[in-house]
Amino acid sequence: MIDIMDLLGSIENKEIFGHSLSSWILSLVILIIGIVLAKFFSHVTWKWTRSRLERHEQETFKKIVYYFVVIVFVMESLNNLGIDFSGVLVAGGVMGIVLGFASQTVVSNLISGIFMYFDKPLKIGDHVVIENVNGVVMDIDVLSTKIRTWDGNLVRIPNDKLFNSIIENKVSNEVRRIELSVGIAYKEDIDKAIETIRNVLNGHTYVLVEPSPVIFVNDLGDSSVNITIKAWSPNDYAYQTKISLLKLIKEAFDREGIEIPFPQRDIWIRKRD
Amino acid sequence: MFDMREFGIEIKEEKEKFIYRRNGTEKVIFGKKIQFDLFPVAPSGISSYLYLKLRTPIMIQPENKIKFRITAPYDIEVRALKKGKWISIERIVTQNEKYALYGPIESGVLCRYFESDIGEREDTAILDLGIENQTKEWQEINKIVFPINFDLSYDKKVHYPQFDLTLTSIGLVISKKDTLKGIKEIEKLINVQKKYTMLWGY
Repeated sequence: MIDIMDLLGSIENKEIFGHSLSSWILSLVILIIGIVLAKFFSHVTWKWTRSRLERHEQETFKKIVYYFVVIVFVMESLNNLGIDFSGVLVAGGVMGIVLGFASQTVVSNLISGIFMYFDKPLKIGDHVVIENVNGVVMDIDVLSTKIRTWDGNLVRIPNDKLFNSIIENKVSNEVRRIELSVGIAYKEDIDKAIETIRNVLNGHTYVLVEPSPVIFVNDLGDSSVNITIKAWSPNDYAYQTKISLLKLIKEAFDREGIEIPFPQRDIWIRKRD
Repeated sequence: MFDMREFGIEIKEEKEKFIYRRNGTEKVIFGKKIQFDLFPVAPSGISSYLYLKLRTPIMIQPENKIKFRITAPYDIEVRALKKGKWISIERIVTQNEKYALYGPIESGVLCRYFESDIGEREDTAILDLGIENQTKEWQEINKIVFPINFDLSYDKKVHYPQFDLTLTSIGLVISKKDTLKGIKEIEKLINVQKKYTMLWGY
């Protein structure tokens, strides 16, 4: 019992950077409680907004609650150490200018993030192409946006860069057009080939009836007559539709005896008389 | 009304479980004294709207009412039932499954597509329509689009709820009547949206 009292007394008397060890411990406890409460409140907010807000709005709202609670407890924790915030605010005027210059990029990202929140060019879960980055939006933060590319890498794009980029949102509409090109030999009947392709499209579940597909001869190539197919598909099925159509068209051409030619070049050898 | 063998369904009972098989699909359902049955359901697929393209367009004179019957698609749902509760085992598509976009690319709705005939056909459901042209012009109807938020009923044939179509200056307004009397109702209507207006042509 005496030992414990002695220990407490020594903690009380021990000073680190001008504050007693007990003050440091209390501040740390306040900080930990703050983080636990912030997580709790952000979780409650996330659950409460689940059926009321869109997913990206829900994430933003959750983060605002989290950082607000953390900031309140950080201030309380520092207050416990005798740091006066009125002084901090006065010093903040001067420091603000210094920090302003130092954190231009951060502020630029933050402002861009706020603008993007209202502009809504993308949201979590969207398939997007931003310059060379092609993938799914995983998170939209106040400073950056995270994209998971199709090969599984996570790409972080600062919001100010994103704000000034060309964003191609692949899922903003319910449907998407897919484009294919197939070549047939010059000796083949073009109408028969187009009819064969049309039958394949008509038999495919995810090729839309309206807007109707378009099939036409696009190019008289070196070795083949090139036919272009433009068909609409539900967004979520566009990729698999494109893959399956190529296979189905090849199989249909084989059945109908329509030749897909290899590139070929005729060489004439002139004989001297 | 529906025969499981017709759809190639095989259900084998083993110790405290049933094995469901059809066209390579296999599912195991644990439990005793489970009843399996087939029910006709509205053909939603990946969309929640139905687009009925009339093979023969209908002309209706100004300020006139008509009634007629068209063919409509249905799917078959295999359900396992026990004490009034059920679970869907599989949904079987009976007609060609196709989709179409109704409206513009940026704001249209994706719909399950079907080409309807006037009258009845052996392999399709029946949809009774009442159409009122409230405008002072002749009108032509080529297609009917509505949300799938209803259940089908059946006796010897599968029936859709009766729909009332009103042609106004805004568009074609579609409202649904209750399930037909005297016909077995599968379950209560859920999530009923009373009216739907076709804004992008008919």
